[in-house]
Amino acid sequence: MSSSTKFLTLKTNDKEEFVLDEAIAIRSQTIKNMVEDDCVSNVIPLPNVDSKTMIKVIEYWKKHSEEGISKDKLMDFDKAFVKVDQSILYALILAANFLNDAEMLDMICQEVANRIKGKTPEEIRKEFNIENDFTPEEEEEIRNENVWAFE
Amino acid sequence: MDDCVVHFPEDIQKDILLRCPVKSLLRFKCVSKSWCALIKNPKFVQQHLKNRSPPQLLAYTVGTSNDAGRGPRSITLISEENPQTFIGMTHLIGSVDGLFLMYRIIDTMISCALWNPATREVRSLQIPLPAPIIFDAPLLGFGLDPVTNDYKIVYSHCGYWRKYTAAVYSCSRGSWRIFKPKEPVPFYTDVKHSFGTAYLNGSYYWLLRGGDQRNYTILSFEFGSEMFEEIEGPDRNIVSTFALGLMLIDDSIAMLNYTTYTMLAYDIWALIQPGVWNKIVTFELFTPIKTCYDSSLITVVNDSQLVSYNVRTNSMRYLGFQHPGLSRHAILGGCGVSYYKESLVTFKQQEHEDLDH
Repeated sequence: MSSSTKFLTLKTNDKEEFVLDEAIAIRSQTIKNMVEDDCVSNVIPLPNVDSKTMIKVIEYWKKHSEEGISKDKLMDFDKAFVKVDQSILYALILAANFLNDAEMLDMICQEVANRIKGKTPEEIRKEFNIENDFTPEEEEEIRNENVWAFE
Repeated sequence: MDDCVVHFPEDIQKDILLRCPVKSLLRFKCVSKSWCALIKNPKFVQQHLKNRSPPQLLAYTVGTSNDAGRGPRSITLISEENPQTFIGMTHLIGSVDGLFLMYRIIDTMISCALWNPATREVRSLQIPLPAPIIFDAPLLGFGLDPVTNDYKIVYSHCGYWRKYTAAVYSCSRGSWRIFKPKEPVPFYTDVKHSFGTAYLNGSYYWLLRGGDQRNYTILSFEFGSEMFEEIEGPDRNIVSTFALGLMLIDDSIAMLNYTTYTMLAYDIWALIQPGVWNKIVTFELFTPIKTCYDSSLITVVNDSQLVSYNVRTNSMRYLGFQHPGLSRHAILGGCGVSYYKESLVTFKQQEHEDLDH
């Protein structure tokens, strides 16, 4: 490892550029692989991430890279971090998935799980854009397996 | 903003579902055919078991089913969300992968029921061998055969002239196998109750009181090979009266015993490999120990409040559960507790389509 700080430029799909310390950017396994395979020219394009989402991602990476930060402080930060509109949360999931940051993905999936756990199947279908491919009889049969779970 | 619609890739949908509680997932089976197949997939069930959701408290009383104090006894859960009563059952062991085994002894027979409190699935069974003759706790255990992914129940009966017979129930076959153990089973006069689960990696363990005051021994049963094995205890200087019971602590089978004859301190020994024990901690505790979870013993303070005592960090934490019966055993009119990881595990007979996953 060289002692001097190396910087990477990340370019989002809306053509914004972010200059970031390489040590922080490689929290993304996707970027890390690119750096290790030496495929990094000047600018790393992130075709699946917009700038609004990237600002949030970088905020998370920087906080989690702070030296000597306590576990409690990080937990407080994470709690506040996921208190965002659903649309932002969903964009963050897709970004964390594309950037391959398992830790961030894990945290956001947990938040989504917390938000959907009380919902009905109809609400879930609507929210996740899933088509109901059961016949009414089939659905009724599955519902009857655990009627109490719908109370 | 809140009614936005997304289309997540399937692996993200799965990541989210892995973090949902069991009750939600039972409901989400109705969402679509692919969600239903995923939630029922045995691989998903096993992964879901390993998520980091906090353990669930199972608190129960054992009472009579009518006010006059007559009628069969029953186990009743203390829970607003999940009020279940099991008429006729008196004892509870477990958990293993979120499952419990309830049983009762009536005269010479033992009835038992495998139970998943999270899915409310129950399978009632009659053990095809007689109840113990001279001691009250049966040599009974259950767990997973990891080779065939089959949950099994084991019972061993010691007849007159120390003739041993064992019975193993396989959930996927739905039948008992009765056999005489080839390997010698040690002579014992009592089976000690364990603090929470005494199952690890395909084997169940019992702490047995030997034929005289001093002796105790550990017996294990491996569900894969269906073989018993006697394991030497940690320290021959511990007399059987002071060997209190087995527990699962930090993913090791461990034994709790009184350190001294004055009963002021405890030791916990972890089983490293058969016959090799490591003393992991010595500590003082003056409150009754109910059960064990992870690195913590669950104990009772002020006769009515549940507290978790972490033996590694030597720290106490209130668990926010109160019940006047906590200081007594459930079977003596008190309140029994167990901490467990809720699971989707099912013990229905395997359908052939499930075997392909």
